[in-house]
Amino acid sequence: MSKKMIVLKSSEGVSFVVEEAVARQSKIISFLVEEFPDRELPLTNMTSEILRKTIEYCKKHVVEDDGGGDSSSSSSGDLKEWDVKFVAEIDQPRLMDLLMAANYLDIPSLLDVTCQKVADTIAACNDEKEIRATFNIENDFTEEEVEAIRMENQYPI
Amino acid sequence: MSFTVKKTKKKETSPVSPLNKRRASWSELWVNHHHHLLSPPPIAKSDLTLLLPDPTLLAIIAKVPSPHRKTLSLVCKRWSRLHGGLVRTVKLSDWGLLESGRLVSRFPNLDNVDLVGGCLNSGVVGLVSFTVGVGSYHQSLSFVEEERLLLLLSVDKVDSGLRALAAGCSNLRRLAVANASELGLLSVAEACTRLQELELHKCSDTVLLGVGAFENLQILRLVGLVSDIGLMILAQGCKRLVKLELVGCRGGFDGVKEIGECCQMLEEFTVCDHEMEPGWLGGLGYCENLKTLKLVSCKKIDRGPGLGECLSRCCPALERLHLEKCQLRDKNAVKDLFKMCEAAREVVLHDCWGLDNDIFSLAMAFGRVKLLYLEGCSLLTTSGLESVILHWHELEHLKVVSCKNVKDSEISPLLSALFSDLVELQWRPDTRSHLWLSLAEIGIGSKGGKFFKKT
Repeated sequence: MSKKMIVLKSSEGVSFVVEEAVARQSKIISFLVEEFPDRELPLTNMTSEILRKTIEYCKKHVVEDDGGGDSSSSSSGDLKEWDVKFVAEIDQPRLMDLLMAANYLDIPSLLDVTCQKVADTIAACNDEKEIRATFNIENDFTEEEVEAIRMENQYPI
Repeated sequence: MSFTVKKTKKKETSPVSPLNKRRASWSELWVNHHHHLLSPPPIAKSDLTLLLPDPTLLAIIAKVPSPHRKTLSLVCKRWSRLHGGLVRTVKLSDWGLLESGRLVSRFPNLDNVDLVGGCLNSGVVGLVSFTVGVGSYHQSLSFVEEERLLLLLSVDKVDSGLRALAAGCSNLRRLAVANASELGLLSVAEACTRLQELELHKCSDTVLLGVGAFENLQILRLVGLVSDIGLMILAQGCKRLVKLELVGCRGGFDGVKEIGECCQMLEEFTVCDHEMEPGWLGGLGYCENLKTLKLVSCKKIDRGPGLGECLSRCCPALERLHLEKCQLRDKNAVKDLFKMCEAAREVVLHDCWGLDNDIFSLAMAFGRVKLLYLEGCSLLTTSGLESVILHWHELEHLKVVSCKNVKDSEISPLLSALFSDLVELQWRPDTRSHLWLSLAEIGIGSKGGKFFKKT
């Protein structure tokens, strides 16, 4: 029995053919597949690179209904380890893109691991300046505002 | 195959649409046009977090361990706003921040607010330690005495702060404040209907008139000059109380009895550094569902001449008696207390003075003790301990820590046999003790006896 395949198209126009079960981990794609069963789905805000990464993740996490116990159904411990390695290999800007992709395609588990990685990165920063530098965030505070916030920050526990 | 079936189904459910042309749904729009709506993210030096929607960025911030979170509020205005929304607990020492409304606008989702430090005039904070009723007698100035040294904010100022808090924090579950009036409390009670826990410093009887307005109040801690009248007001107003702690309070038999009779759900009663009238202990017998009784930093248990007839009642549901930093020299008072708590299954004696073998022998009044925890009771000897616990046939857990007159070398075979039957044993009477072990941890259970032979 051949598995149903669907086609996802990146912003560069590159087509990716994936098994439906793999793509359906995205709630958005799952919905679109029902609505447009025979169309290729253009994901014009995702680069080929990010789309490839996303698919790689979904392939690893797909739950096989039939022949259990083969390559794709790993134990949860292995899977966690794999996830950690998976996000560790990605640089900051691409990690953010991947996080956006997970958010946009609505893949909760991928969103969770990418958010965790970003949170770990933030926690590893020594001060707010380092955080701003890491994410290219502009400082929109005045000196007085910073002072006020610092003062107020002594109260939360 | 399945694909065609689906299609026919759809036609059936939407007979209005023409055969091959469906109305444009949002999803169709999405497929055809979403590249116009969602342009690809600009590359290079752009803010990587700008494109994240608030809930996503919030999810990330919530995953950052809390010790690092404060830094996040300094990154930019957006992060500051998101961080502020995550803060639930504050301990304030700057009243201005509360009165200006800045506290509640910066942290709109507070549910636990401690204002006690803020009720002191800022100039004198730090000159005098603010510990109340804890530590040894030398430190335990009651709040009333401290008041002479410290300038508290005026009642009006405290009340106006409470109104500002009430206006912005309707989710409040816990509040601690000093020198508030019943009016200030009423304004909080009206706005914060879910408040469950209240701590009032410099509390007086009239202030308690406001406490009854908190419909869901379950936990109350009072520090100050509360008398029998106050306890009665409290009993009538707060019938759903589960935990009550009185620090430096007065009151006596009638007040405690009223509490016992009205607050049927009261499970935990703590009395610290009290000024209670003679005979107050007798009132405890009316607390029918009381499970835990704690006495902390009490110079005396009860000054009364003995309870006599009042002792016909004891706390029927009591499970746990906890005595900490108390003077236990008065044999009659201790006897009355133990009699009152004879149903206790757990007994904790922590840094109590005057607990010699004679006083400890009164503990035989407890018939069904399962857990005994002794710490810092230096007058008690091994034989004193042994003579009591050999009577407790249901004893399962024993902890003896820092009791320097309890010695390894004096453990008798009987005691060692008892040890071997325990579920848990923590034996650290002094720092030199060799039997620093817990049976549960090493799982020797039945062979425990061997361990207690001196090598």
